[in-house]
Parts: sequence; C-alpha cells; structure tokens
Amino acid sequence: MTGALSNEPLWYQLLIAVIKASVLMGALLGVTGWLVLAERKIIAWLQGRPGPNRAGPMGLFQPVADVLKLLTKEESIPPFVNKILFIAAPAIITITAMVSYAIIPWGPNPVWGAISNLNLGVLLFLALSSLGVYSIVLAGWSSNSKYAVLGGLRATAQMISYELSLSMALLAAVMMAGTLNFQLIVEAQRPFWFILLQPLGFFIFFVSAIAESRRTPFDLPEAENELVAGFHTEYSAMKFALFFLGEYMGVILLSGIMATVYLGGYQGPILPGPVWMILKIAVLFFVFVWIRATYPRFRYDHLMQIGWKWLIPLAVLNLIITAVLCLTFPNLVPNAIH
Amino acid sequence: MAQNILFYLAAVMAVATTSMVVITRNAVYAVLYLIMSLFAVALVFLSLNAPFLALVEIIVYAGAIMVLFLFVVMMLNLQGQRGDEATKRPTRRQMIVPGALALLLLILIVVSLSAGTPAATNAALSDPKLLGELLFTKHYLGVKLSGIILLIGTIGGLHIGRGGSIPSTMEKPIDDVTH
Amino acid sequence: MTSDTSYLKADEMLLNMGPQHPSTHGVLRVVIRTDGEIIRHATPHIGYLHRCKEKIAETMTYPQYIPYTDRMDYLAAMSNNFAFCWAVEKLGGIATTERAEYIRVIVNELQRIASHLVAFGTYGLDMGAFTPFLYSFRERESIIDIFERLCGARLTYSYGRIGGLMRDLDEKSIDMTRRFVDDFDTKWDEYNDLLSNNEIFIKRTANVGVLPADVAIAYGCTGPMLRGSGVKHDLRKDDPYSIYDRFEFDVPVGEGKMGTVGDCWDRYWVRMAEMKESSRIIRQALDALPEGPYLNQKVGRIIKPAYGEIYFRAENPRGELGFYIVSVGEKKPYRCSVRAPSFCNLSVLTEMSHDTLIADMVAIIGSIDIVLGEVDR
Repeated sequence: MTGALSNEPLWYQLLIAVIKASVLMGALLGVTGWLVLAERKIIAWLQGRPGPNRAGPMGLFQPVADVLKLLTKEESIPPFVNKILFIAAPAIITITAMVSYAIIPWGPNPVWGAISNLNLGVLLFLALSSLGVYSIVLAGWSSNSKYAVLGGLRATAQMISYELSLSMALLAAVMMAGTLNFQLIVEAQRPFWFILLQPLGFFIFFVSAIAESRRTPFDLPEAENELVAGFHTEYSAMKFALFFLGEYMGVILLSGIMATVYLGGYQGPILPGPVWMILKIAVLFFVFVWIRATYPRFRYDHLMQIGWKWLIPLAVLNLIITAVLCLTFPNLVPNAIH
Repeated sequence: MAQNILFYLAAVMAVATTSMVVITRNAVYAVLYLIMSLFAVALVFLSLNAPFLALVEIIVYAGAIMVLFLFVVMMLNLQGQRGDEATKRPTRRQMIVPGALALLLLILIVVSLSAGTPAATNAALSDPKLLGELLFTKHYLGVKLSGIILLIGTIGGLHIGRGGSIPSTMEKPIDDVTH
Repeated sequence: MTSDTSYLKADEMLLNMGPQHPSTHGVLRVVIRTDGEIIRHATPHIGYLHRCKEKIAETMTYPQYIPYTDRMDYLAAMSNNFAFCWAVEKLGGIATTERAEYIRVIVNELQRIASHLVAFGTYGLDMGAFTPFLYSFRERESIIDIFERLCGARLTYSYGRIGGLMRDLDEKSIDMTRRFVDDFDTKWDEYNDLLSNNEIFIKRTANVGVLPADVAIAYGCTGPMLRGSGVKHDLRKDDPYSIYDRFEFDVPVGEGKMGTVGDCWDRYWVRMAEMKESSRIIRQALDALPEGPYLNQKVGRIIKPAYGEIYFRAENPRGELGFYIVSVGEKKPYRCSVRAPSFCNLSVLTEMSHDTLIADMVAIIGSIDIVLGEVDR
C-alpha cells in the first residue's frame, strides 16, 4: 500500500519500514519519560511549587529513576484475577497506541515522511483507537475487584460515546481534504489550515480527544477520589507503567492527529517539517496539561450528557455545514469531493 | 502469493476462532474469540484487496459493537455464574437441530463454491469514493431501509431501557420529559 | 464485611469505601449499597481513631488535658485549646486578661481560616481539581508560620493556658498577621475564579446532597453545615462568649445561589464567606489589641474548681464544640464529655446520600468537612 515503493522488492520495502518504525519507536519511548517529567514540571509551575528536582540537575534524571523503579518493583498478580486477560490488557493499549503512530506524517516525503503512507490512514486511526477500549474493559473485568469494574464500565461508556463525536469531527475535515490519507490531508491545507475552516470541528475533536485519553476533566475511569485508581487499581510495576505509557502515547498521538488534521501538520516556514510537527504537538500537549491543572472532574452523568446531547449533535451540525460549504464554495477547498 | 498465504491463514483463523466462540463456556472468552474472528475476517478482506471493508469491519464490529457485547457480558458475569442454563453442556437431543442447520449451511457453501468463484474483487471495495457513490445511487433504497431499521432499534432500546428510579441529583433523561 | 449478601437486590453491589480511601478524609469507612453507580444506602462506620479522649480527662489535671484537646480536631487545634480553657475558666470562675482574650480571638479566627482553607483545598481535590489544594496550602502555610512563631508547633499547638496564653503575640507576629490578612483578600478572589465559579464544579456540587433546614436541626448539625441550610445560627453571635460581641461581622448562610438551599455548593460557599468574615474580625481585633499581660499570673498549676458542672460551647470551624465538665472539687475533672461537631454532622450522611451517585458521595463527604480525630475522639 505504500504507493511510492510498490515497484521495489518486498525485502526492500520491509527494510525501510523497519528502519522508520525503529527510529520513531525509539524516539517515542525515550521521549515519553521526559514528557511525564515535563507534565509534572508544568503542573508544578502552574501550582507554584518546584516539582521534581532531586534526581539530577532540575530533576532531569527523574524519568530514569522512575523507569528503574518501575522495572525493579515486584510484579504482583493478585490471586483472584483472570491471569491471561490481566496480563494482556496493559499490552493492548500500548500496542494500539504505538501502531497508530505509523500513519502520522512527519514530512512531505512520500517514503520517509511517514512509516506507512496509508491511503486509508484516517480509518486505521479510528480502528485502532476503538480497539484501545478493550484494554480498559478487560483490565477492569479481569482485575475482579469492584473499583476496577466500576472504572472499566465508566471507561467503556465514555470512550464509546466520545469516539463517535471524534470520528464525526474528523470526518468533516476529511470531507474538506477529499482524502483519507493523512499526508494528503496536510497537503490540502496549503492555502488554509483546517483550524480556520473547521473551528467547531477542532473544538469537538479536542474535547473528545481529552475524553478519549481519559484525562482531567474526563478522568472518571481512574478518578482516584471515587474509585481509588479505577480500572488499574490492581496493577503494579511494569504493567501499571504500560497503562501509563499507553495514556501518554495516546495523548501525543491525539495531539499529533490534531496537529496533522487541523494545524497544517509538518507545514511551516524555515524549520524542517518534523520540527514543526514536534512544536505543534508540544503546544497541544501543553494545553492538555494546562487543562488538567485547572479543571475539576465531571460527574458520570454530566459526561454522558455532554457527549450525547452536545458534542454529537454539534458534530453532526458541523458535518452538514461542512458539506454545504464544500458544495457552495468549491474554490475554498479545491480538494473536497464535489 | 503472499496474499494467498495471508488469505488461507486468515481463513483458518476465522474458522477456528468462530468455533471457539461456540465451544467455550466462558461468556467473556466467547466474546473475545468472536472479536478475533472478526479480525480474521478483516484480514480475509485485506487479502482480497478490500482494505476499506477490512478497516470498516474493525471499526464497526470489533471496535464498537463487540465492546457493547463485552460490556453486557461483563455485567452479567459480575453477579457470578447464576445463569447455569447457559454454561451447562448441551444434551445430545439439544444438539440435533443446530447440528442439522450447520450441516445444511456447510452443504450450501460447498455447493456454491464448487459452482465457481464469485466475480473478481470489485474496485468499489477498495476505493471509499466509489463505494460511497454506489451506496448512495444504486443501493439507495437499502441504505434508507437500514437507516429505518436502526431508528426502530433505537426507539425500541429506549423503550426497554426506560424505568427504574433515577437519582435525584441526575437530570431527567429526555424520554421522561414527554411522559 | 459480612459475606452474606443475600439481602442485596438483583443488581446491587456492596462497596466498601474506606477506611483507606483517598476521599474519606481519614479513616472513615462507608459501606455503600450501589446499583451500578447509584447509591441506595450508605452506612458510615466510625471508631478507627478512637483514643478514649474523654476517659483520659478523668486522670489528668485540668492544664494537663490541654494537649489532648489538640488531637481531637487537629485541623483546628487552637480553637479546641481555647474552647477547653474557656470552659474551665467558666467552671472555676477564673479571670483572664484583656489582651489574652484579644489574642485568643485573633488566633481563633486565623485558625478558622486555616481550617476552612484545608476544607476548600481538599474539596477541590475531591472534585478532581488538584491546583486549589496547593494554592490553599500555600496560604495556610503563612498562618502556620505565625502559629509556629507563637508557640513553636505547627499542628498541635497547646497554645492556650487556663487564665491566658502560653506566650505573647509579639510585634513581628502582628506584622505577619496584618500582612496575611491584607494578602488574603486577593487570594480569596483567586480561589473563586479557580474553583467556586467553575462551571464543572458548580455542576458537581449544586443541587447535590441537599440538606433541608429541618433535617439539619433534627440531626444536630452545626457550623457551616447548619448555616449552609439557611439557618442563621452562629454561637459567636447567638450565645456570645469571650469578647466576640465587640466585633462587627456577618453570619453568612446558604442562599441556594447555584441551586437549592442546603446543597453542597452552599456549604462550600458558607465556608468561603466565613473566611472573609474571619479576616474582618482579625483586622478589628488587631486594631483594638490592648497592652497588658497575656496570662493571669494568679492561676496556679493546680486548679480545683468548686463542686459543680458546666457546659461550654464555642463556635469551631466545624460547628459547635461543647465541653461538659463535672467537677467534684478536685484537681482532676470527675467527668469530661465532648460534643464534637464533626460527629453530629457526619450522622446525617446516610440521609443525604440516599439515591445519589458515587461521585456525589465524595462531594457530600467533602462538604461535611469531617475530621476523624474529632469524630472518634
């Protein structure tokens, strides 16, 4: 499916894919630890305290210490859990988040710009994000503990609901770009970034993205004040770390998708594409953290109301408006389907 | 060649996991096997050059519908295996009718396959634009009808799901306003 | 927990919240019967922090008991000290000095602000907002610094003495207090921007855990709990003790500004408004602070009140703290009973949490603002 390479031999295609994937995965796994540190530092700054500052200068080695601690901790699998699913659950969320990175374009080059320049990239993203739910459902169920089950139930309902508005917001952008390929979506934003043409869509996507990644104010599944730790109550050591990793990768992924679809992706003056992409992701990540430091948590029924009574109707409205716009002003979005 | 291998692997997986859905006695496992089976079917689509269908299969079935299944099954299982009927091994008499039906299906599949493979993969299966055009022009009525069926389902669900006391702090759901 | 769950209805589940649960504010254990997320019944179980405070009093001389009062409501240790001192002074007919009373009022109101700050911060935390907690602890820190200057301790002060105080309020402390009070008003506005007027926070607390005035009175709720339900009852005004009748301040009550009168938001708001009133009182007291001794030197270490009994009640941050002391003319009390506001306020939990959601439960417990040290004593 990588169109530009389809004439090359299979081994060559595979080799290139492996190189690209290893570079990206290495970078991501390395960076995630420092992102956690960044989040803690930003929150500390917003709350007027120093934040982690013991390990290394300005606490820069904190992630190393954290990872070492998590790796050397005892893995406890409680006797009452369903062992297979208990172990599988944290893996699912990490894997689905990691695989999704394959479709994010980091540059305009058709071969090296993205790991997989998939024509149906948007669909793959939606498919993988919908699979991430299983991780939480199974974690909640297999833990066989009441708080975990409640957390799992909350997470399932929440993620299914918000996935709808998320996909519909994305669909409107796809309509304007006339393609499901992320790289082409970026190219379609040469005249205007889609955040200008799709302000409502961006808003809906952003809110749904926060809900999808289960962060404040939508962090009900792991609401520590109500459900102790929600679906990962029984998890410890590296399995817990995998949930954490999955959450952070999800946040970066959703920031990446937002940067790609609404903020012109790798486009930008002077600096090379990947740098712009990283900058845009960083800005979005900061907003995620900022929101976390500011807002209280929603209640379960409010969450459902916002999802079903506000976001989804708004997303449908946005879709209709977009369709009308595309048909009445064909010059505005030259790529749109007419 | 590679696609052929993929097809047969996926096909075997689909059959195996689907059988496990029937055989396994744990409802949650059954749902999980069904999800795997849907994945296998998605792979079959992929090997037949229909990536669009494959991804839609995963999004719609594995990603949305099966989560709801799992959701329900989880809730039931939480109460302990009280519904013993479901987990009991079926008696021989109970197996006659399903067995006969399965046999009939098998015969039909064999007969239809031996009558010649269906037409080669359609271009519409891989291109969402073409598929969309087909759906909204040629198969317009079908789309409408399925929409109506979904609406009926929604109304029915709302009707069944209503009832039970609602916490005082929660706002009334929409359907209660009219009553 | 009993393993017999046969009394549960088909879809109900028994959930044990606490004694180690992040939002039960200590070692409270609430056994809740839930139907999904909906709470059908909640039973608070207490006693995990019981330390026989009342019985211990019978083996202690009056001054010796002061440190024990610290450990009841450890978030308002000063107020406990003073309440006990006032009670013994009333019982034994012991006079205090003018300056001591003024300092007591200042410190008492500072303590009220500190205690309400904790209530505000942890309430935000219960609602999932992390930042208010740290903001409020920043301000509480300056109060504790003042207290540390006064008595050397930061949590359990034992600052009160029968007939006066342990040490004087020096110039530096007065300065610190003034600076704090001036600073506090802007900080207070900041809190409201951050939490009180936050849409999500209002949705979480307004119309939740409504406590009607008659129920509040029937259960003996006092303090912000009672005032949140719209009953204008403050012992500093209605049964003035010490020198509270010399100051001008309002008694904020719940008005149902965001929802129903007596909901969680009203209780929360009463606490917020009280902080403002407390700073008003502190300003007036600082301006009128007379010179003189801080301790009645005539009071010795051994106090032998005459045969008799006394019930003294003071308006603590959490409500009416009452000391009932019986003296048989000895140096130790014959009986000392404590009416703990948290205990009475907590008793209404079952009533309030019926048919609410688990998330509301957290909001309700937080709005009661209990201190388990005081509930269990």
